[in-house]
Amino acid sequence: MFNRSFSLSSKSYLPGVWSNFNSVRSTSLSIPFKPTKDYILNKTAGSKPPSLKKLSNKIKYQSPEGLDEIFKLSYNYLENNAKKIYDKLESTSDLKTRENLLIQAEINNPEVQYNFQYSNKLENNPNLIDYEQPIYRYLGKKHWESYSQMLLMQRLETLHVIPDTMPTLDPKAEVNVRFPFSTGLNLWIEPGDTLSSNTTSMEPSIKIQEYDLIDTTKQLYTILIVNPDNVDIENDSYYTSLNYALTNIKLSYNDNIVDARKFTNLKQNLLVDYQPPVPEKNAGQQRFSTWVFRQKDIMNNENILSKYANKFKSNFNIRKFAEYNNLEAIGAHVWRSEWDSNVANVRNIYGMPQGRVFTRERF
Amino acid sequence: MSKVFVRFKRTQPATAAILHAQKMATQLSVITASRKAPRLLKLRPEDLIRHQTVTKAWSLFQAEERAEQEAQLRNQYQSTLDAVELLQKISPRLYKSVTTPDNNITVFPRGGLRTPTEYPPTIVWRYQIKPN
Amino acid sequence: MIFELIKNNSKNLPSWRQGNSAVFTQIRSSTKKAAGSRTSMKDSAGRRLGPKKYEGQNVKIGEIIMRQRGTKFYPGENVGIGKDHTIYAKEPGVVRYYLDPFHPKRKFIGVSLSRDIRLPTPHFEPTVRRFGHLLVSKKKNPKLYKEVSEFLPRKTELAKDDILKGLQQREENRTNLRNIFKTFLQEEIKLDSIKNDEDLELCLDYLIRLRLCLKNGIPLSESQFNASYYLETLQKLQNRRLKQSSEELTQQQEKLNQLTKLINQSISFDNNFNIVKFLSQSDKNQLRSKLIENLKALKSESKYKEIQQIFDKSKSTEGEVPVSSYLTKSEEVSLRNKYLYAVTNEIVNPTLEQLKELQKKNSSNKKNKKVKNKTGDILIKRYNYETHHVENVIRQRPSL
Repeated sequence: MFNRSFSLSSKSYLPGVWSNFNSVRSTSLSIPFKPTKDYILNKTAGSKPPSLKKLSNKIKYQSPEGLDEIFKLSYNYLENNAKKIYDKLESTSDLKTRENLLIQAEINNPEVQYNFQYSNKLENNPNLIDYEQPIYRYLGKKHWESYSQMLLMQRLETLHVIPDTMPTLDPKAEVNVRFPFSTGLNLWIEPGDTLSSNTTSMEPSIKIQEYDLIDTTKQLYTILIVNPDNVDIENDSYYTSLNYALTNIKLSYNDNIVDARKFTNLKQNLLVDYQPPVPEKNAGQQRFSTWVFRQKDIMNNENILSKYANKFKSNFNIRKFAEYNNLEAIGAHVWRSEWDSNVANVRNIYGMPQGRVFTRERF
Repeated sequence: MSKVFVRFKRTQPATAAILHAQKMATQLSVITASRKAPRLLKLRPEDLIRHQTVTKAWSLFQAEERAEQEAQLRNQYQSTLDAVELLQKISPRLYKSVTTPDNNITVFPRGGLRTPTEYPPTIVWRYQIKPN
Repeated sequence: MIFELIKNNSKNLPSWRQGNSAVFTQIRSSTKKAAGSRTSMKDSAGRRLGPKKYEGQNVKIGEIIMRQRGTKFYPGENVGIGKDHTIYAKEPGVVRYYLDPFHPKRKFIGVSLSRDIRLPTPHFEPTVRRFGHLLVSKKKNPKLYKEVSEFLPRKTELAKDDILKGLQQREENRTNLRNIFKTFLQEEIKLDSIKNDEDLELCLDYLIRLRLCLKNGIPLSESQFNASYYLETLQKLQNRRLKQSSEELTQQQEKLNQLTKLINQSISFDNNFNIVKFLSQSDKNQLRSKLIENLKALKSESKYKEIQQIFDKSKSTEGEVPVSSYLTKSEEVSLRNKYLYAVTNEIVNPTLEQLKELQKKNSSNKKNKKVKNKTGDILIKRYNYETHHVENVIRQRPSL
């Protein structure tokens, strides 16, 4: 039935919307490696997938029988559907519906699916996965929601980062943290990992991946790292400290790793210098939670510092800070730190006093 | 009649087929799920994408057909409804005869005329019908 | 009734029983129950279940609040549950029996840290926590201080020696590398702007860091930034620690920037992370295309020894840029596979005459053992995936 109904349309087929790259269409919507693209789109009988390297494997491998003809038919059918959606797109002006239509038009494109499924989503190459494109943002969000987002929420809840810092989180952006400066390692940290004091001795670089439709030219971000587990020996309890604060950070969909290179103006971007985790002996684990906020407008750091500078170190209230500055929490991350024998060294480098020592038992 | 306690040898249940099915069920329950699942197709990434494209196109095509058919059915139903309502206005007598269910079962065609449908009837042959 | 039943059942009976269904084989049970069972009269002593602490009572850590069979009460805040569902206090405070709207069918027992905190505590508020450990003072209690601060968990204690040994080993490796880099900088490149020892040390620090980053798979530009930012941060911290002026810091950082720029322009690392003279990307591309041409020419003349020499770093002639400095590892391997190990001329499924010839050659080689004929042909067996047969193949030795 399928065959019959498309015998006509396939005859009158012209180069379609998915293969027309002369206009505004982004090249990330096609497979850059030509042999793979040729194999997928116009496979000839007897040709073998380019991902196979060894000759013996090429000989052994057989692609499913009859897939070639039916693929061409299906491709034309899907492309025709996409064309209808692109036609509809021309008459709509609402940004959200446009975004939805763009997603619908490209979601069945095999080239897009190949690029997304078989390349690195976290450290994306914009030639393959360009998050400027709505379709890649959509796919990226689905991929994030399928695992990493759930993992993050589980860690935040089980470690009681929620509600010990912010009351709750409606995650909208993917936040990833790594420590390339202290370790020289190219490793992203899983939420909830316990890190050594050596690893955390220098500031992290933070990747914030937005999936929503936002105006990247205007949107500013605030990043706070807070520690709600500082020992308050007077009250036999704990207090929160602000260990790192960045404000007015501008990001784009593809260039979104926040480190010193992102600071356009040091005073406006760096609110609080990085204070490394230096847990004291027998004081238990400390949770260092990274919070990422969207700003409503530009923050004036001098104003904030003159008002709250003394509160940042002792008893910082992140909820009040967020409320006062009109901040909307969109993402979070958490790592844990514990006393180890390197803490003294870190304290020394940062010129901090020697750490206190507590009894092992609780009384 | 006096009741006597009689001991028999334990016998197997009457239906051997049930027993066989039970045996199969227990055997299957012992085997791990991965062994019961059909073998995964070993496809290279390129072919997997092509396969996904085909399945996606087929499901979209089917959905489109289904929607078309449903729309047609809805239209047909609506036009019948309209016709019957019109009939009610024009001729209440005819309307009554149309809307009351017909119990007149004929020998030929057996069981009376049937509305043409896409599928054969659930009761294929009415054996009980006898000529009046 | 019974007759009928037996008749119907007789179909399932074994053959020797079938047909005799009317005949009864009567059996009388041999046992006879004596007087009634006495189990109901057994009884254990009372388990002393029930609340041990009531609403509003003060408790210490570990005190039992409730003994119960099953979870009649669930453990709430600051409270634990034992294997027999005994509820006990985990923090000192006030016992509270309460209901939680999150679990409407359960009753809870909790310990509130102070009398004015109501349970359950609000869901979205920060949890109220007690620290509990005591501060060990160095002055007042020096003995305990020493004991506590020197204590390490058993596993850490056991692993300590290995860790320290590893640390030392790495430090040694680093000093070795430093020496290599130092001689390279001083003898091969002879940079004029590195005058004093301090600058040289800074350069070496940078190089060590850069190599580490590259080795961990970070791209070059990123590695360069990481390494320089690491040193910058150290300078900043040192400046803060020694309470130097900010001008001094800017001076230091300018110097660092200059040096890193200089180093970036004068050295690079090859694909084995050895230090080599700087090669720009265009230079590398040029060298690569030249190499490929060269290889093609050599291969067409089947000069495998020369090709081997190109890839063999130790044998490469002086003045020539080694392959490893401008090819990536994967490129080098693929080129090596393509040009060095390629099979040139092989005889698939040889005829009987060809086989005999081969045998003759080999036997003559065996006779005069002094001549090590490594260039002779050999016979191997190979599976053909297309025909699904094993083939005999005569190949030249160097093409292996």
